Amino acid sequence: MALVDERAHGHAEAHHEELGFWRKYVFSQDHKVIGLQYGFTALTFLLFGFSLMMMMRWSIAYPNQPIPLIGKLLKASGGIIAPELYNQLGAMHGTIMVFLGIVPLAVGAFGNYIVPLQIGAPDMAFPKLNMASYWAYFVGGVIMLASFFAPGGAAQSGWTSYPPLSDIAPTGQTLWLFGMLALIISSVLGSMNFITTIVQLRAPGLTWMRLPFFVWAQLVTSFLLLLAFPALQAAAVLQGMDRLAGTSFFLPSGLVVSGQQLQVAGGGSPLLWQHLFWFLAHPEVYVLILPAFGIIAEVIANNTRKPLWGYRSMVYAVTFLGFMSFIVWAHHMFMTGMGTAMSTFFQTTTMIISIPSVVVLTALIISLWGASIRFTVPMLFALAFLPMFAIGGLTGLPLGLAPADIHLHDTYYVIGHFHYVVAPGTIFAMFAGIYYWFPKITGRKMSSVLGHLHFWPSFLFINGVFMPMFIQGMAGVQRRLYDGGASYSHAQGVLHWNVFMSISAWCLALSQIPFIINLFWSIWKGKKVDSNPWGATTLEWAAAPSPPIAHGNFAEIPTVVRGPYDYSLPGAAQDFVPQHQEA
Amino acid sequence: MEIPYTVEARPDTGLPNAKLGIWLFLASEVMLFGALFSSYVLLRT
Repeated sequence: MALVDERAHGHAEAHHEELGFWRKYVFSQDHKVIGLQYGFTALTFLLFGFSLMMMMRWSIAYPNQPIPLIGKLLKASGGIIAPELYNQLGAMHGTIMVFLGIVPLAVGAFGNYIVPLQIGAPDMAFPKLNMASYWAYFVGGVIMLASFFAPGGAAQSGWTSYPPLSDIAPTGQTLWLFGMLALIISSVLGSMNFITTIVQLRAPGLTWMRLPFFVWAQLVTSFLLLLAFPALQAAAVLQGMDRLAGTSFFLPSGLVVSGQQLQVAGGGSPLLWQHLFWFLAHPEVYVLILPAFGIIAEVIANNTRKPLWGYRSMVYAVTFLGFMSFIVWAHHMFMTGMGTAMSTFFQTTTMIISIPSVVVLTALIISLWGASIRFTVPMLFALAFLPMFAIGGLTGLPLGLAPADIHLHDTYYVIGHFHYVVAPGTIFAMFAGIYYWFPKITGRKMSSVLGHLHFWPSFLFINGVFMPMFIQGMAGVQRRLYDGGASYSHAQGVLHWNVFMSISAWCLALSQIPFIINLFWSIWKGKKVDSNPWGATTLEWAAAPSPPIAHGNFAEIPTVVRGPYDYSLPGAAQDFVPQHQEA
Repeated sequence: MEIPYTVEARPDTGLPNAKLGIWLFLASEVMLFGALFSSYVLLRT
């Protein structure tokens, strides 16, 4: 008891210590402030990356025609999006959405804010590293944005930056590499911190099988970030050497560019880059989807008012999925001629890894069985996530089989497939998370009317954008064409979809306006709610006030006595029993 | 506010925070240099 008194006293003292503006809001070490910094920066980048795509959709639907409104900025080409600019927009759309948008939002923002609260920790294990992680990310983002102003423009060799093209691309590519190095440093610092926090700072009684599923998802994600990103770090260093120091790690001998032999030492292997890149980038795909699983699991358990079906199987499935994700990378490379033995191995592992994803998805769907579902705005996004992710996942199977991939490789089918996973999949989960945890952060609820105005058109138009891509892809229309295939005879039959998809995309952009209004309006004017407005069981709602105490999160660290989803427990006074309460 | 287990070890894991953190960092470095060395070996053979 004396210890508790001392702690409480120490806490009160820390609370009175006044921090200046800079240390409180800018160079903060509080996980909640850092989480919000991550969140707002990542949302800004998501909007920016999305805007790049709006420009690209113009070029695809109406190639070689001046773009309205922003065409005046493109003086040199008379308002037309030239193929070189289209390549830059495409490469930077991918890079920004994946590395500067979704990963920082899913891990940096949600992970930072929610994980310490859900495990009953006063903060992250290493608050200073946490701050360093955010600022490394910020520097990486600034470098990426600055690359648009480099001579020759931003990186234009795709988000995958395949050599030899990327090795001989203009300066923007070098900035891309430096930007990636900063982002990788940020991820490694962040993931060390997450794993240590989850292993070390769990509240008393919070055993592994009592962890909310969201925390499990973040733990596996952190291992992927920690162990997969360094491969790209190595690859970026080698490509940087190729570009700046005259080495030839990725440049083969006798390379001819525009009819002239390239004056380089040669002897390198372009395929090596692909191996190193996809060794990172396939686990990266799971980094994008696992936190989404976690958010969806929380929202579904809360809004169905019953425990998750098969919680243990879900935990085992994500752990297995984490391990497997390290040995599936070469299914991106069936067309490189790496050999049938390699292809056979990787298509087998790819089929195996689909099993745990289906386990998680099935468990989530069965969790809906027999529930009296509350159709709140976060729940709508969670329910939409299930079939959208299923479409994305199932269309991936033909791509994972080498014979089918030969036909579909590098077509719009691939674009449709992974956008179904990431856009109406992960990004819908992010929206669900924002609507769900907003009252935790502000003590106010977001408007439900504007939420519906955001959800229904988004759901409609996002399918309008991505569904026709499967049709185009199966007809053989390649990705990365600035004219959307207009110059190819085999594309003519499906070309009319381009205008339809572009109009859907612009309507999708318009349907995000209610969300932006809702987000800012609700911060100041939203309906005030009590600490636990959704009636949730997990510690962040049940044991901490909303918004949480600035330093230390909890007035007193709770002791956990039960599993994470004790909803509708027979004989209990309410339809939920918080993790730290005896029934 | 004080972060638990910065000095003393957590009983069930037997580790202070910093020790676990540095081991994780080393694991990440193994992957970085593993990638660099294996690239070198691949290009030499």
